[in-house]
Amino acid sequence: MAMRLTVQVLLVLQALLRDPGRERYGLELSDETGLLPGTAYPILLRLEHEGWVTSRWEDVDPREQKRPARRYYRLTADGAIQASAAVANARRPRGAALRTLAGEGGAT
Amino acid sequence: MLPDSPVPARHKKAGLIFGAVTSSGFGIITLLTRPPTRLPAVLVLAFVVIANVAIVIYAWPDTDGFLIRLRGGRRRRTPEGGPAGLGLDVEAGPVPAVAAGRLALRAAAGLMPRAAGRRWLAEAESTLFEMPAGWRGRAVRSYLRSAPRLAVMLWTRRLMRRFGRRA
Repeated sequence: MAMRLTVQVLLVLQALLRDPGRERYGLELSDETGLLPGTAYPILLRLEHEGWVTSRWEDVDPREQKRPARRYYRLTADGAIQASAAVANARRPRGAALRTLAGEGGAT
Repeated sequence: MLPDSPVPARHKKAGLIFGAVTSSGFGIITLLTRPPTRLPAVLVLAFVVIANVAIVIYAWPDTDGFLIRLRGGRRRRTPEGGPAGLGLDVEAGPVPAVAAGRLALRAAAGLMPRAAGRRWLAEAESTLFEMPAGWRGRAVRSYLRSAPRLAVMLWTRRLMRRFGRRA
């Protein structure tokens, strides 16, 4: 199934692409994207289902750390390629928009 | 940056009580007068349960967790509907658990397949724990708002997998 690339999805991908090898946890991604964690979570899950992102629970003792374990997310090798392409494609002007502009230019 | 809910918390609180009482009342009356309505008991119970879960998911995080304080004017208002609503000192740092809204989060997790629901709940609690106090109420609401769609997505995926395997 193809990923539906909404603005929110692109924001998450952009944040993950800033340093594709680095793992990020939910709150960190929320801070970077400006999305609420409840919005970011389904996006990350969908990306994971599509194989673009991989995740794991942090291996820590919550009592020692005095906080619950975090869930870390990272782009997969394939995901990094697909995400780069998706973000680059989103930055490009839409074909329809270009045609409209060309049509307007021709009319004048 | 984050917009406030357009519906005041007091109105939501009143709506929650009204909705819960109405749907439960409808269920009881329908069950008592079953012969004329001829609605199957399972259907009526399913409606009552779904209606109450939906009402709680929608309105609970704005009620600070207390349904009985409908006239909340005398209580000091807090910017968040989070642990501060339960009298916890959120300014002192992370609290052991996100007390207010936890029940609603658990209920929402129950809508999802078991493993996925557990993971969602664990991640929500982990994120909320480290979050600045003032953001927790909004974050809980965002989790609850996305929960029904997430549940549908997860169940659809699970069913598709099951049927895919059999086919």
